[in-house]
Amino acid sequence: MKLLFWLRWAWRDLRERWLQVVAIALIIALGTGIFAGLGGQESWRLRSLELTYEEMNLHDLRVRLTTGSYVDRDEALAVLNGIDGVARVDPRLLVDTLIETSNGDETIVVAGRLVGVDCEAGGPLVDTIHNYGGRMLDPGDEGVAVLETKFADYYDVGPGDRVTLIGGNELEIVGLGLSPEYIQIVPEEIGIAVQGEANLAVLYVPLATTQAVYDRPGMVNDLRLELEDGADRDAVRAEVERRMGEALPGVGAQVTTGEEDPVRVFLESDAVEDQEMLDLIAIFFLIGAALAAFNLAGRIVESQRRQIGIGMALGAPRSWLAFRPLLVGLQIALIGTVLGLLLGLGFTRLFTMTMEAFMPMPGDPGIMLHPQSFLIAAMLGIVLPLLATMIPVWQAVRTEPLEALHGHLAAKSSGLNRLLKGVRLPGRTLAQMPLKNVLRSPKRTLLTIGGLAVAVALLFLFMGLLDTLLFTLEGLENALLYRSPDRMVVTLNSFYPVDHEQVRELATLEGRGHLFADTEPFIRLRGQLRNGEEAFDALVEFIPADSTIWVPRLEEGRWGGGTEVPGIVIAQKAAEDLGVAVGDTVALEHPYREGPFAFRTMTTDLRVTGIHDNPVRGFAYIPLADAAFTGLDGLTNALVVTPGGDVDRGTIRGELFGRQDVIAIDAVAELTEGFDDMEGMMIPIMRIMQGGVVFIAFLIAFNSTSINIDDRRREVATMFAFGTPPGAVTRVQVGENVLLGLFGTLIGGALGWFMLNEMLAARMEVMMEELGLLVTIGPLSLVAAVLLGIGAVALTPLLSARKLRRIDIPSTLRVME
Amino acid sequence: MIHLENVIKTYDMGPVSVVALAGINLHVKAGEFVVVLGPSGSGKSTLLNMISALDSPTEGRVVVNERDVTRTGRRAKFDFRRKNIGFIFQTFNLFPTLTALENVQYAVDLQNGKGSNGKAAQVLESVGLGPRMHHFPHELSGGEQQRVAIARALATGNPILLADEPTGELDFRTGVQILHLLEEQAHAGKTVLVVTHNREISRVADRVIELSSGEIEADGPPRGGRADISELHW
Ligand SMILES: Nc1ncnc2c1ncn2[C@@H]1O[C@H](COP(=O)(O)OP(=O)(O)OP(=O)(O)O)[C@@H](O)[C@H]1O
Ligand SMILES: [Mg+2]
Repeated sequence: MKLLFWLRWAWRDLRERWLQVVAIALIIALGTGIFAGLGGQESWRLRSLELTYEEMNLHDLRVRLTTGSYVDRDEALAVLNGIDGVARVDPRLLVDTLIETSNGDETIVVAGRLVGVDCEAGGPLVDTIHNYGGRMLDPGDEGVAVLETKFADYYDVGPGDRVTLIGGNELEIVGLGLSPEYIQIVPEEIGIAVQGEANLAVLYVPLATTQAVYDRPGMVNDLRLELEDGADRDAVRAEVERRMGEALPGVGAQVTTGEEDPVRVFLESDAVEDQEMLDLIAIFFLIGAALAAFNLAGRIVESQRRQIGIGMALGAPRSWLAFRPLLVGLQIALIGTVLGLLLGLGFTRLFTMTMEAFMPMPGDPGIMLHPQSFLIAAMLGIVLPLLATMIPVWQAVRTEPLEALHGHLAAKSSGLNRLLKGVRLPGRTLAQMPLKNVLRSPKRTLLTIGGLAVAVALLFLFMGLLDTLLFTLEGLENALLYRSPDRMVVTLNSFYPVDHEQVRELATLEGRGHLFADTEPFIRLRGQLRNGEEAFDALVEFIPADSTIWVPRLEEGRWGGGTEVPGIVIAQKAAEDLGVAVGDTVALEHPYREGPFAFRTMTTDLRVTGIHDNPVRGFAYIPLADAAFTGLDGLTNALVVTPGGDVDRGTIRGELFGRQDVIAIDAVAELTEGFDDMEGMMIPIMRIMQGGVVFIAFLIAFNSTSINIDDRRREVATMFAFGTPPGAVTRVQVGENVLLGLFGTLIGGALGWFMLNEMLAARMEVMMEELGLLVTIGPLSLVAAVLLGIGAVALTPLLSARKLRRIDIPSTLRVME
Repeated sequence: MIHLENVIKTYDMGPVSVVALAGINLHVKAGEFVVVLGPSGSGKSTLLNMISALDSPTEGRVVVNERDVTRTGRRAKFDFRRKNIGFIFQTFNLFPTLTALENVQYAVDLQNGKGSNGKAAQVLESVGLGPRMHHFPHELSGGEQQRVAIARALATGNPILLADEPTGELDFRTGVQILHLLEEQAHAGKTVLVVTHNREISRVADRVIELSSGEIEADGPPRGGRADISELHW
């Protein structure tokens, strides 16, 4: 027979159930669309990074001196330029300091990083600055700066505005720029646990200006190396380490490659992780679609059983009989997939535009279609639903002709209702119908429940991700703010003896009465916690064990002391990652003070004496009395303060700004406020995704219900003929759906919880390894899942109520079987 | 009891319109046993649909039990059927997930608990299906299923029984049993309308209405005289 004939026939089958067809096609379209359109997300971002780094001439090697150490620029250049394979050395002087600026409306006092760059030869030439407006630095420039563009955007500061530095020095902003280390502000670069673009002003300043303002004449503390083509990087790196150690003993230096750049590592792994997440979501959608297609194909086949039987009686080959229902499946898959691929094009565009708008990078690959993803999406979009159709078709054509002729075998059997025989159910027959209908065809019931479960699980997953994040952040907030929530940390520019007059003077500053109600000197260091192979960066605070302002709340153990080894208190997550418990030993790599401006790195074994309640892995605390192992006993580089009477943060900042010895003033509460910003950004995105999931779930629910109604047309007509009011019939369907929804929600909830834990364990732990996540499903999410899984599903029959009322009773009753 | 005045039913199928009933006037008294006879497509089922308010006439009036069912709302029609009509279909249309007893109980329940416990079982007994009460429809033969359907119609307690080709799917012997059951109902006071295209069956009726192309061709006692069920040969 002609293909066209078959296609037309199958098309008529489709039209008869167009609502369900549309619903399934939409689900397929969303799945394939996400898969195709966002499948190239990873490649795009990696390509964009590659282009960016090419354009910015990312360093091949970077030499970073231990915080507090400086070397003479010429001396360092002499040492490094003498190494074979080094093409160029570009020095930096990085200084962390407070800055003050204004956009006309408000005065902004914020942590700043001055990046002193050598611009005499048109530089910097390694890790260059991309121009986002105004002009870049020129040879001979003095007293000017290029401001990091994201910060500038956030506060609406730009060329022509001025920045005030400590000591009253002013810089004029001449341009907006961005260099590779600050594409994203990561803790590894900045040394503070969490920072956003709003909390750090990066200023690119001529090297000489930086040296002059911060009284480090001729000094630098960071060097960027470009190697000759074909140079053996590892060999050069080893040589750099050797010569630095030789020429500058006592100065710690860390040599890293461009690939190890923390921003790069972060962005690359972020792209990879995001991709896995997106693929997973797309797969879920496709599974949902396959279930729905399976369900529908089953229905269509069932209703064609008799026709199949007639075909068999006429001696038609099985392939013929299978052809028509299979074509239906194929057509749905095709419609869905074509729609999905189009959607994919749209997603690709949308994604590119979003990236360009929110994370503008110098390297912009433009719209980049990912043919592989489109191909795989097209394959999955067609194959999965088709396979799903094949199962019931295969079963149908394998039945004996006689059975098929009798038709509606499934509908004529009572399913699991046999189990109910002899059981006296309460209520009228009408009230018992929902349960009986559910039990009638266990296979279809399972399918429907399966579809609902997938939808609810998806919802659970999304809600859970957000809940977990929020709950964890709440934990962080609780841990930080349970005591002295208004405390601030004043970071000093160097180490001072605790009883130094400058420190004492700071503590007693006046400003509308006493500026501070209480002050306490402590030490804050960056280091690395280690146990065997496991290692991560930590922010270690040495604080008085009997602090009157704040000590961390302990979940387990106690504060140090009592052993010959110094004690340390770490986070639960840190203990897990390091595989240690209270009483075990961990290694801390930390700076050791040899003398003023000279630190080296050393490792000390410490005993874990307690676990604090902060979910951030990197926070660790050591009693100040035990600081001797760092060579810093009796010294301080930070003060924790509580504001006096009616003094607010602004006043404190204003009073302290301009002091040479203060480089940062952080309110602890601001750390969590930063999270609130992040939440503010993430919540809408998650909510949109949840909306999509709810929509899909609803489609699945609607689909299963309308299939049920089609299936029961004859029964409904009979009920109507006997005068059963339509409301009662709808109630039966609602009842049936409540049962399905209940099971679907229970199973979906369990599945979702499982996936949530798996996902968080497998994915988030990598994406957010700094945080010990407390996996949570909030009450609101539970309510939402129940509302969708039971409520919305139960109400879908109301959507079909009109269709039900328009049913042609006489002709439905007349149908011969 | 049943009163049709100049009832016309046409189906508009685009340019063509099919006349199913072409001006029917009919009066059926309570307790009558009426057979509607006619060839296929003559409008028999349409006539029953008019009486049961499943469909409304294009023109004319249908009054059943002193209620004009042509001019009432949807809700009233459902209400009307629930309180007046018992249906028996050619294809039984039993609820497949309900047992025989439950199918009958359904009708009892519909009457808002008018029937007490045991009524369903009692009705099933009366059609001779006591022992098969707890069987599902697919476990019963065609004749048994039709008897369940009759029991269901009876269990409503409604005064009018409408049966559209109730014997169509059944063999002769079973068909006779079914007819017998229906006849008994008429004797018990129900108004019974049975549709058939089998002239032989019509001989058992008090009155035969012959339809042809939507018109009544004859109305009266069966041609050749009324026969006892036992005298029929199909
Ligand atoms: N829904 C409909 N749409 C169009 N025409 C219809 C419809 N229902 C019935 N008809 C037409 O009305 C006429 C009478 O139909 P009806 O079903 O009453 O016949 P019948 O006497 O019951 O026939 P049979 O013995 O085959 O059941 C037929 O010509 C039929 O084609
Ligand atoms: Mg008919």
